[in-house]
Formats: sequence, structure tokens, C-alpha cells
Amino acid sequence: MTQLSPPDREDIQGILLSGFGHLYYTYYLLLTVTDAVAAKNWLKRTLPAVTTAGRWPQDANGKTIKPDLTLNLALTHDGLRTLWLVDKALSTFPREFIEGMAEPKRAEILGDTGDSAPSQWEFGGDNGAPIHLMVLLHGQSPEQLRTYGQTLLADNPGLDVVAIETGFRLPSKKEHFGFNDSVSQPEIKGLETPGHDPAQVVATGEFLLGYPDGYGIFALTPVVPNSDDPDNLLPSFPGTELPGFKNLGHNGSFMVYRKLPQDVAGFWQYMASQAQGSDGQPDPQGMNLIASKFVGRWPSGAPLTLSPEEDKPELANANNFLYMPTDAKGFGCPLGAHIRRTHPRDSLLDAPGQGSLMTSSRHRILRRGSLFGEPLFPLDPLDQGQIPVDLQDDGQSRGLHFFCFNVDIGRQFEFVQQTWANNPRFDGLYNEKDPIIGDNDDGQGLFAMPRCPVRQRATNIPRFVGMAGGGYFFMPSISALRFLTT
Amino acid sequence: MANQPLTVIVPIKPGQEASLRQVLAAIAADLANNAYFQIARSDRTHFLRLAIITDPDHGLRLLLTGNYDGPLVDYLQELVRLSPGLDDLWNHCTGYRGRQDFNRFIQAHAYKAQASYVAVQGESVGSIRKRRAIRQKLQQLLDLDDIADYVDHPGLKPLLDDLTSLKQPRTIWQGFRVLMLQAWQMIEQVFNGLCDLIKQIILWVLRQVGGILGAPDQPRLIGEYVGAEVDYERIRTLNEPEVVHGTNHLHLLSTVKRGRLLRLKIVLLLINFAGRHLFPPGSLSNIRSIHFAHWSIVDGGKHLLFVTHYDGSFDNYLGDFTDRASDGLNSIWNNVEGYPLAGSQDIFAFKQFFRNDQQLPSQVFYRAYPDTTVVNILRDRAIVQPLADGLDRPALDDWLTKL
Repeated sequence: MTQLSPPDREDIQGILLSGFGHLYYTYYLLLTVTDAVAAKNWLKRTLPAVTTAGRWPQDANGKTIKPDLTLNLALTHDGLRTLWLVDKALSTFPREFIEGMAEPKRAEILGDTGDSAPSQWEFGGDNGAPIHLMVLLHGQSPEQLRTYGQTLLADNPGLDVVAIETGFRLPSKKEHFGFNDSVSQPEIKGLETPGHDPAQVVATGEFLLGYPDGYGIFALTPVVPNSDDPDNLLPSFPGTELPGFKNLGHNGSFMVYRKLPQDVAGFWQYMASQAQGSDGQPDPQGMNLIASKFVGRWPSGAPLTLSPEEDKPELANANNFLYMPTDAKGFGCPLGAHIRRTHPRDSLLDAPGQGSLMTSSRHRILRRGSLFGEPLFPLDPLDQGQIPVDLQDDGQSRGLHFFCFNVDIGRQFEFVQQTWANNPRFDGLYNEKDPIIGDNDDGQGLFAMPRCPVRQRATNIPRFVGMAGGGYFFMPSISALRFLTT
Repeated sequence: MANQPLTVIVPIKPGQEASLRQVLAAIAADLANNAYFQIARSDRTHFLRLAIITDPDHGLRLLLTGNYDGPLVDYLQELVRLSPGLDDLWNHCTGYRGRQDFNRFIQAHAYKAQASYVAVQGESVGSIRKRRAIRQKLQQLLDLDDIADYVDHPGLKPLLDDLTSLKQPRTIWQGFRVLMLQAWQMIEQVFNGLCDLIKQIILWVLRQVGGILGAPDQPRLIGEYVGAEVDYERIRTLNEPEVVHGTNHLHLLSTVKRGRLLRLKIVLLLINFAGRHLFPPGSLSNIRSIHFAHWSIVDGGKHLLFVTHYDGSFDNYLGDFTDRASDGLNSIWNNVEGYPLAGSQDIFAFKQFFRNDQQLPSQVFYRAYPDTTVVNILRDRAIVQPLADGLDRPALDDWLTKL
């Protein structure tokens, strides 16, 4: 497949193919169904407002007219059941999605333990109303989004609000610790950006159901018996495969949402404790280096593998690099650094090089997201080496609304979390977890930074990123939404 | 002799299942202190599991399988010693005639492995644990505040530079000896290169054979499944006891396809050879997460029993197979019923195959070093062994007293 066809683009929800980078504000509605019939009618009324991935129009001068507000929708398995989707179809979803993020074994896999356990979540966990539906709005201002969100739910839609979450993005694309968090995204086959790295291209079917995935087959997709689709709203499978069923998943995807609070003061205080000069005072350069080693990139986004000694903002968006040729031992980017764990590229010990690249490409996720809470300190000057040496917590909650899309939650998102990020023995390491997002609940985390002649090791690392709520969602295609509301 | 596989299958007496399950549950609840079988006190067991298996022809049977060090007779003696309730456990099984008879009883029901793979040959439980302890000690030393500070503000590098720059003046005879050694090393290199070449050629041939024998029966675009037919409840049951991080295990009892026994035996012979002689330590076709794996043809050629111990998650384990050993895997498993037509590239159906009714849960599972991966074992060896090899105890004592 070379390009997604225009009708397919019109069928795919917009956020799957665009992060809406021009819209700096987000507004998320987490809803529970109180009246299934009314909710279904509301969905039907809202359907035309859903932003698709159709090409944006151009004005008379050939300038692209970008939307000033977008709306996308996703449902949990509870939501699909409540809205009466045929039983037979409900059981065809993947197990991870059916069980949901808060299921005890899943929570263990994801490292949602201690204060981050589902029993402690603000929503989506063991307490409170079940989340059935999530509405994602992107817009130009908080006011615009608030007003739109309120009108959206104005006339008795059969839905109750479980939570409203708001967010924003910074032009610098930084997250709260101060690091550029948007560099590495998979290139989707058929949607490659100009000048991309061919090694980063991942099969369309890794992110969109109904297309061949990284193994050349279809990922598990929800299906409905032909008899349940009398109006023929859903596509059949190609060829003679599964003749009795329609593909409910086609042009859809699975969405993971996690609200991740970050302990920003704790993070930089920890760096101060690890990097002290001979005078016993925190050494800003040393702090910056260790924090960057934790991440694998400098605050600007420049990879340590390409620039091991100092931040180079001109490399901020560099993503076209490999580990093995120059950084096999991790003297630049340590083996256990956040970006080397979550996307090991060619450096997996099993089969360094091509074999590792293939394995990496079969466990990619497509990330989206926004920040919540005001930044605790000026983030941009970090790139010039202005490090917060004496940061105090202000008691405010701040962090990341993390979203990602994938077709197989177990093989993609959960795999990255379990087998790579939280795995104490990832890639031959002894006993350390991802220093940024790892579940170091006991405050005893370790992190080895290889160097010559002997490694430096950070000890007693606490948990810097928590978990406050979320869920597994199915983001249907427009046709599937139409099917669901008929 | 380190690292032998053991596979024993014995019939369970009629009406004894419930009582046997109680005994197994008691063992599993406290592997070191239960009243029956204190396996956690073993010095020779790498892994061991007890599982009740069932198939239509044989009814309920008890499977004992794992890997142990040393001669089997000695190992069985250890097991007897660790079993205050030996009779209470084995009296549930047909043919057991008491403590004195245990050795004969087990050997009579033991199956030979047609193919077996051992990640790190020659490593006993004791040597793995000892190396780990020494490495941990070294790491702790490095982490001591004073030493960490010293290492941090470059004290070690200049010291090492100075140390390695020192050369002792050589006499002419010493020079001559070095010259001879170098010549010998060159000859050795040539031989090593030759051996390596032969190895690579055999491996290449085997890969070609694997490519032919493991070619999918049918390429597929869509997995051979409809989600509705997947038994998630069963997967949950199997998934529940698996650890999120650490060593896991699985065993499958599959039915050999009619007329495929000979082909299967040949494939297993080749795999056995490759696993033992062609791959570097810790690597089965570039998969570095397998501690042990063995295949036994049981029940007169009717069934294939596969037993494995691996690091990390089930998904990672099977994903590795698909990514790195697709042909080899296919050429084994396409000889049994239920294997996906498209082979391991049909990743979902492939995982499903390993999760389907052929995978059996264990009632008792013991691992001697649950937090040590294959890669850790090799790394421990790389850290500790050069020290051990380079140090001569009396000379070391002598040197230390000189300080």
C-alpha cells in the first residue's frame, strides 16, 4: 500500500493521523452512560462533528485551512456493552481491552502499584462510576473548549461526567521535567513524512486495524456476524477470509489513556543529591548530565548517543540514529535510559543490528498527549544550561496526559511497559527499572551509567512518575460509529 | 555433569486426584518447609515442576520435570533426602513401592529427551549462585560512599593508566618465550578460524533445511481465528501464576500428526546438534532468554512433550521465536496437531497454539535463581571468571601480606 485512499482517510478519526500540533489546548470528557438509548441518540447527533483524517481543505491561495477545533471519540469495553453491541461481537475484542487497564494482573504488568494502584486512581480505577466513553477535544483556548464541552452535553444526552481533564502543549514540546518529549514517533507506512528515516517505517496495520501488521497479517480485530449488519455499514474481509463476518475494527485502533502525575521537585532534588561538587553544593552541569542520562536525550531533545558531552539544541529533533555503531556500550546513552528502553532500535542484546530493529518495529506505539498543571519552573532555559538547583514543591498536581494508539495492546503498549521499561533485567542489566517511568515504589531504584574506567551508579531512585487514572479504549472508524448508533 | 533434563510421567491411581492436588498445593505453598517435598532446599535443582496432565488415552498422570546437576542416581538420592513425606506424595501413583524403590520407580518412568538445549553448559546451581554473590559484592564495594567518591573524581583512571604502563624488564629468554607463544597463538587462530568456518557451513546447511521443512503450509493475511473462538478464561488461568518479571515456564503435550513421527525425530536430532554444538553459550538461534528447553517423544510416539524455562513474559518469549527462529520452530511444530498453517508469523494464532489446551498448568514450580536471567549468568561469568582465573590463592595471600 502506498497511500491511504481519500475515502479511508474520511473514515479514520483525525487524531490517529495527526497530533493537531497547531492546537495548543485539550479538553477530555470521561463519561459514563446513564441511559443507553439517550446516549446512543447523543452519539448519533454528535457523529457529524467527529474530526476525520480527511485532507484539510485549502483556501484560494493554496494555504491549508486547519481546523480550529477537533473532536474524537473512543469507547471502553464497558461502554460498548452498555450501548448494546451484540454479545458475539463483544467477545471478539482482544483480552487486554476486555479486561481493562485496572484489572489486577494488568496493573501488575503496567507497574501500577503502591500509590499508583487502581484503588488510588481519580477515575477509571476500582472506585467511582465506570468510564464508558471518552471525548477528546483539541482547540485554540481553554475558554473555547470549555464552552464547546458544555454545549456538547447540554440536553440530557444520557451521559454523566466522571471526570473532565484539561491540558495544554508548549511550543517547545517539553514535558514538566523540562525535556522535549515529542521527538520519536514511528513513521507509518503510507503516511511517511518527507525526509524520514526508512528504518523507522512501521506497517500501517500496527496502528490501524484492517491493514497488514508488522507480521504481514491482520491483528486481532473485532468482528460482527453478517446478519447483524443488515445495512451493510461495515466492510467485509478481503478475499475469502472469514466470509461470515464483517470487520468492525477496520480503520479503527486501540487507544491507551493514562493520567501520569510527575514529581518535578522530587526529580530535580534527586539530581541535586546525586551531583555535588567538591564544595558539597549541587553542580548544575552534573545534574543536567545525570538527568539527561536518565532520559537518554538532553533537555532540548538532542540524543546523548549523538552528543554525549553537552546539549546541542541543533540536534533537538534528531531521530535518525542507531546505538550500535557508536554507543554500543552505553557510554553516551546508558542501556537502561528511558528512550533506549522504550525504543531500543538496533541495540537489543539478542540480535544487535537488523534483528533488533525488526523486533523494535513490532512493539511501537503512536504517542499523543498534553500536559496538565502549570510548570513548576521555567522549562525553556534548561536548553541553555539553566538548571533548577534548589527546586521546592508547590503542592500542585502536574504531569502528562499520556495517550497512545496501537492495534494490539498486549504486544505493543503493555509489552513496552513490561518487557522493556519496567523490566529489572532488561537487555542484560541486573536490577534496575526505567529511571523516569519505572515503578520504583520502594525508593530503591538503581541506574548504571557506563563510563570509562568504571560505571557510575545512581542509587535509591524513587518513583518520579505516578499513575492517577485511565483506561483502554477502542477508537472506532466513522463507519463503525455509524454502525454502533444505528 | 551439570544441567541434565529430567522428564518423568507416572499414572495416578484412580480416585487419588483430589488428595494428590491437596498434597501438591501444600508443597507449592511452602517450597522449603512443607511436610512432603522440600525442593527449595535442593543444591542440585535448577528448575523443577510437578503437574497433573491428562489426555484421553492415559487419563490422569503426574509429570515431574526439570533440570538438575550431577548423576541421576545422586540427584534422586537428594530428592529422597528432601522428602519427609515421600510416600505421601508418590503413593498416589501407580507402581510406587516405597522409599527404597524410588530410584527404580523414577528411572522406569523417565523419558529420554530427543532434543535438549542448555543455555550455559557446565554451570551448576552452586556456581551460578556463587558467581552472582561475588558480582553483587563487587558492585556493593563500588557503591560504598568513599569508593564512589574516589571513582567519581577521577582517581581510578590515572591509577590504571600508570599501572598498565609499567613493564618489567625482560631477559633474553623471556623474550624468546613470548615470541614462541605468539607463534603458537597464530597457529591457534588459524585453527579456530577453520573450526568456525566449518560451524558456519553446517549452520547454513541446517538453516536451509529448516527453511524447507519449516515453510508454512499456507501463507495467510488474516489469522486463522475468529476472536469469538478464543478461550480467554483459559488464558487467564495460565497467565495468572506467571511472574511479571523473572523466570517463567511452560510445557505442552501435543499430538504428533499421523505419519510425521520420523520427520519430527530427524528435526529434533538436528535441533539437538545445533543447540549443543553450533550456537554460542546462552543463545539458541539468537534467542537469549531460554534457560532450558527439552523435547521428549512420549507415549510410543503419540505425543510430543515440550518443557521450557525462559526469562520474561510469555509474549516476549514467543515474539522472540517468531522474530529469530521462525523456520526452526515451524519445522518442529508443524508435525503436531493444531499448529497454525501460516506458522509462527501468524503471531496471534502462534501464541494461541501455545496457550491452547496443549499447554498445561503446573501445580508445583521451583526455580533456584528466579531473578537471574541467562544474560545475567553470562555477564556474571564474564565479570568473575577472569579474576578467578588470574588469581592463585597462595600467591594472592602472599601479595596481600606484602601490602
